[in-house]
Amino acid sequence: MRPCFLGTPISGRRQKNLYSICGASFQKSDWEKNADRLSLGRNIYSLKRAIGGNSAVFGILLLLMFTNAVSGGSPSLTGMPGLVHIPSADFMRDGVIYGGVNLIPRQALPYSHYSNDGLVVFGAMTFLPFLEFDLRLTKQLGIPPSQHHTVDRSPSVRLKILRDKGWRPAVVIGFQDIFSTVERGEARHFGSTFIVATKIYKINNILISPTLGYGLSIIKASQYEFIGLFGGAKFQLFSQRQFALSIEYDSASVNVGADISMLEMMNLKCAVLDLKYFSIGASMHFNLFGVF
Amino acid sequence: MTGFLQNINNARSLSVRHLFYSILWLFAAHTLFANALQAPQHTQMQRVLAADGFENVIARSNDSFTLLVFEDSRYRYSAKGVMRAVIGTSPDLPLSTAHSFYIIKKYGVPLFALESNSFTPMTSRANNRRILLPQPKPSHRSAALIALSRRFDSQNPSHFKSDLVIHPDIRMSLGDYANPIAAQVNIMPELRTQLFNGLVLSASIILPLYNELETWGDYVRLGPTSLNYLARLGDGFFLYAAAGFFRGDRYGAQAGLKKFLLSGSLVLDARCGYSGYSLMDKGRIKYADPDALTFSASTTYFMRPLQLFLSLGAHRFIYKDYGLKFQVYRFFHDFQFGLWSVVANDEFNGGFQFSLPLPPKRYRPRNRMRVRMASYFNWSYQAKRNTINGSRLRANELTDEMFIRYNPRYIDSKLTFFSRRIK
Repeated sequence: MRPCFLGTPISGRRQKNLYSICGASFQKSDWEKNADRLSLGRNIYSLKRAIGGNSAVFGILLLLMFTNAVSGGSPSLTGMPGLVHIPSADFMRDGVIYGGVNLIPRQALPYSHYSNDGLVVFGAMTFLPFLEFDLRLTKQLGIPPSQHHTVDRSPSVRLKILRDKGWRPAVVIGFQDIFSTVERGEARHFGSTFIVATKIYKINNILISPTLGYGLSIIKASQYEFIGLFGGAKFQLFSQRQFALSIEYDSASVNVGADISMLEMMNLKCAVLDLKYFSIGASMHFNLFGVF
Repeated sequence: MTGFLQNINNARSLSVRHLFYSILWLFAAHTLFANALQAPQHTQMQRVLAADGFENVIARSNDSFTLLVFEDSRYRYSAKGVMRAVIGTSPDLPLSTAHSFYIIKKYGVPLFALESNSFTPMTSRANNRRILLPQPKPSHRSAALIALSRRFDSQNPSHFKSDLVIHPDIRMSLGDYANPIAAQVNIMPELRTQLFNGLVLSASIILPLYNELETWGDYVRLGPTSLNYLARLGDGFFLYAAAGFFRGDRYGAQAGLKKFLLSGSLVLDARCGYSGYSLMDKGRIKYADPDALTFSASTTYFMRPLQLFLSLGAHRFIYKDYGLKFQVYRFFHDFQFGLWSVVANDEFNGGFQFSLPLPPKRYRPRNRMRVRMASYFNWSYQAKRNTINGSRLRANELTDEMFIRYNPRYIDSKLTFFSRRIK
């Protein structure tokens, strides 16, 4: 038997997605199937030899080996499912919980009055099939400790009104920064009440997901996001759904970004905000029904 | 027979229905007594459950009726314990069984009954024998069944058995810029002993590991320590009470009544407590005279398709403020996540809480003393920290959690999933 990346493969066409360790057979996960498909999983060292020891190429190939199709929506820089910065009507599956971290450049962060970069730590959960809760913590970087600044907490709620079905797009209503510890809203820095629609089209091997939304300043806040018309589109190859490219207008600037999904649970995001300022982020997700 | 039972259930006259059930259960009791020595399955079923670590076990059967009573102290997940008992005893069910009844106990108190009138015939892989797999549902005859079960002696009683439960205790608060999250990490061993049916002594001590919060958190101190009582009053009513030293630096007592309606889909609760402030600082207990009379009335509804509990209650809180508290919590199998909001003194507050299952899934059978991890790590987030409005007396946490995890409808929903899978 030929050696496998994680154990010994079981011979036979019908069992090509199984491998055995100590006599027990296991179903291969998607990334292991990818690894087999790319013939990279057999011997990781032979791969490195094959590319002549080039660490950068080796790293990229290793990254590709672990990539997986994006399931549901990938989080935007706000922490909610979306494109680059704007939210979309994508919804994670019921019971999915995810969290991550994003770095926002100061030029795109009104909360810091454009003077400090922001570190966003977020968590979200599809609590019900039609209801999602998000919590975003934003910390301004580089503030002297004497200013007694900690972090800004902004909880959000998203409600799915319509599913993507037939000609009809998915429609979601969102209430961003819905709860504030200060009654009059001075401590609310990411206020927005929006409605957004997303429709997925498959044209040959290309998935195109246009998004269109409108944001209102119903909830009183000191700073707002996505007020007015916003929209964009996400492009993916159906056969390579682990990669996505996005372009959007967030009611203030045009942004572009790319998403890479890895290991069934990780997502990396790179973005260029206002076509000038670089931003990155990473997130992880898993389904509570699958874990417990 | 089934049609006859349906006709009886639909009967408008309550007295006719009650009369029929009384006669039926007198008949059932008589046959169970009469055939007690003729059905060797009794001892086998009782032995199977006791050997598996189930406590307060009673098994009685005749050709058509089987009654099983048990308390699960082995499985973390309440539904799994019930499943295990049902599956474990099914090979010993007589093939002629028409009805099997299961009474689930906790802390020696019967909580509810399940009833199976339909059975899935299966073949055992071990010995190629035909067995019946029951499909239990909440029984509306719980009261009669529980009254019947009181006549029999139980095996492997839970009296004077203790658990030393190790709780991880983590508190966090927003700090300053240099340290955005200030934390306190403790280990809280809790000695939990059932003195007799329904009476449980819970005593704990807090061992500090790491502290960035209050100074008294640096010292070993008394954790929640209370005497808890639970009794079934009949007709779906439960009485519960607790007295001692509670979470949130309070001491006092609280008692309440709970009523299960619609087989547990709807639960009504009323409670009243009297408490004062108390704190252990550097080995000395500081306290104020009890002055807070708290009371509440609440209702909880279980939405089966979403595995969701919705709860709304009107409260008089610790600081004499009145308000409403709304909670919604959902089960993702064994993991529970919930949201809450409270309006008190014209102030709104909210947050979330979760119960994270801790390993292992199954504990050792309990002899006199057992050391185990806490079943769940509970954590709660409160959006507004510097407020005293909406503070509840957390006196009956032992029974509160038990009533949720042993809700008959909730257990039933998980058993249905299981029976679908086993088919």
